[in-house]
Amino acid sequence: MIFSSIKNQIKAHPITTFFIVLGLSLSVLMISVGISSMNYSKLLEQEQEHYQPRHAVSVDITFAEEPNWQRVLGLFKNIHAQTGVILEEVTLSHGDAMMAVTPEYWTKKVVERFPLVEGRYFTINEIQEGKKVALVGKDRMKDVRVEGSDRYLTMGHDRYKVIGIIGVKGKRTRVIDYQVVIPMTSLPVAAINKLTSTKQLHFTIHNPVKDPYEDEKMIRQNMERLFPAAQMDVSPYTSNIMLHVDFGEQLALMIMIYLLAIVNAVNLTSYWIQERTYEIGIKKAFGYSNYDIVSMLFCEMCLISAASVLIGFALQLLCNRMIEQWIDYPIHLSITHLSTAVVFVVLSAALTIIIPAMKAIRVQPVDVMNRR
Amino acid sequence: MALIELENIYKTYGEDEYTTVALKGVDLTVDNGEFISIMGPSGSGKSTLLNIIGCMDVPTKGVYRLDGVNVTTLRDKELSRIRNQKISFVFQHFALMHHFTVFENVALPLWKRELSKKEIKEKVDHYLEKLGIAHLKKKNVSKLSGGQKQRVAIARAMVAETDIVLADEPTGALDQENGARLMELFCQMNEEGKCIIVITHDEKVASYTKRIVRIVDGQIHSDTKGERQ
Repeated sequence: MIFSSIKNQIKAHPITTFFIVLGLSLSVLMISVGISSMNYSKLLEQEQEHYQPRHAVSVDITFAEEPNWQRVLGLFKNIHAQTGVILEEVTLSHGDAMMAVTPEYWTKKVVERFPLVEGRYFTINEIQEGKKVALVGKDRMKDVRVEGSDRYLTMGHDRYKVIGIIGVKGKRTRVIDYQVVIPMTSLPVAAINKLTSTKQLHFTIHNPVKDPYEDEKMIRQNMERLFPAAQMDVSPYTSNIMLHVDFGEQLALMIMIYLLAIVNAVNLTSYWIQERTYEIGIKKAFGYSNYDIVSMLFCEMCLISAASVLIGFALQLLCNRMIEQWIDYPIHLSITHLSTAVVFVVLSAALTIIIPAMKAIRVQPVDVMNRR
Repeated sequence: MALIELENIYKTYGEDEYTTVALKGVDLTVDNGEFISIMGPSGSGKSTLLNIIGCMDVPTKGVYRLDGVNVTTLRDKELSRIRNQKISFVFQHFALMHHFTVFENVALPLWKRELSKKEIKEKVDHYLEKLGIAHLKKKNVSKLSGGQKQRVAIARAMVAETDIVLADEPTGALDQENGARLMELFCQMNEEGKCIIVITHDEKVASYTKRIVRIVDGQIHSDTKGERQ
């Protein structure tokens, strides 16, 4: 009965039904985008937590005058063998674009920070000698040029030989996949000049096993010796990777879009019920109680909401690429999506039907029976 | 025990100075298998009386007993059940669901009962056949003529197999020929034991019935029993 009833209603009110379904489908789509964004942010947070430098502190040094680069490297003399240095906020030109790079430095021993998909990590010699070698993330491979058996990445007019690809096999790891890591000593001259001209240096020191307090002290001593007028500030390490999505904002946006869809559905359903008072009156005359009528409307709305969920999911699959560009992460239908969809169906049907149901209850068979 | 017992029934609409009294102390008893016409001028209260008898409206005052049960105190759920199982309706403008097929309209009272789809189909097919409209089964009712629509409405009333059939100006939208056919159908139903109450202002229609109750200004003016003419 419910299926034939809904079929007849769709036939009778195609435009109203279309707009109810459209509103709810777009709402489903937006909720899914929101869930995917939040999943993505969560994943990014987890990755960041997993791959960020261990026992790290951020150091800012302000020089009185432009420092000499070789003397800058002298700042790290006698720091712990396992302590590494990451120069922050460095970008190099690549073609017409600028590419963020991660210059790393060790004094005695290279500690592998990222997993390798293929190739090898830097050697201490390459670090010390400033060899033009690079480790690139999987997403950066499109920028790499193959020459014979070697691969090269051109940055700041210098050619860097790609010695390894960093990332996790068979899995996207956003924190790593877009990275380019080079020895700090291999920075192009132009980049060094630009860096030193600011008279400021931002770097992170990190150690895989212990807090680098002693290294901090050692760097301060070196600074006082090499750059007596310079000033050093140390602060706890904070990642420079920005989370793309704000959870609160995303949730608020989702709720807002959902409520708009509900308001739209309530309006249209009210109109729909208005159109159906005759049918409701007849049903009541032939023995349908208010409960039966409300149940019927609720079931119909559940079916409409369920159809909207399916259409919403289909839209996602169709527009996945566009959405991926928009939120920078593809939508994967997950258990979260499906369970949210079930809640969505029931909640939408319930919320949408309250006001129209109250109208339907007020319909008296006597009021409509002798209508033409 | 009478099938329908109305005792001192009052029905008023509106409040204070806008009050309209539609029924003023109506007493009426109807037995099983009676064929009654309720006549009266427009606004005399005959339709209000029919709505109260059909449990579609409740009296402001008085007692209405249907099959010995005081229905004036019943809730929506029980009244709905009574409407479904004891009373059927035929209306002047047919009261059919426009976007539904003939079958769906006729089957309407049966969906509320605990019947299988097969049983529903058999019953509906039987009455459609009986009324000669089986070929219209899958047609949308909006595409039917007035006579055909009234037959669908009659089929819906018959399929419910209730003791009482209430008809409000059933021939009002029909031509003379179709009107006469309809009244013949009512006579046939009455002969099968149904209690039929027809509201009409047409003496010709009333002549088919065995009892004529005349209402004037919300009160029973006369109640004449006799043989069908």
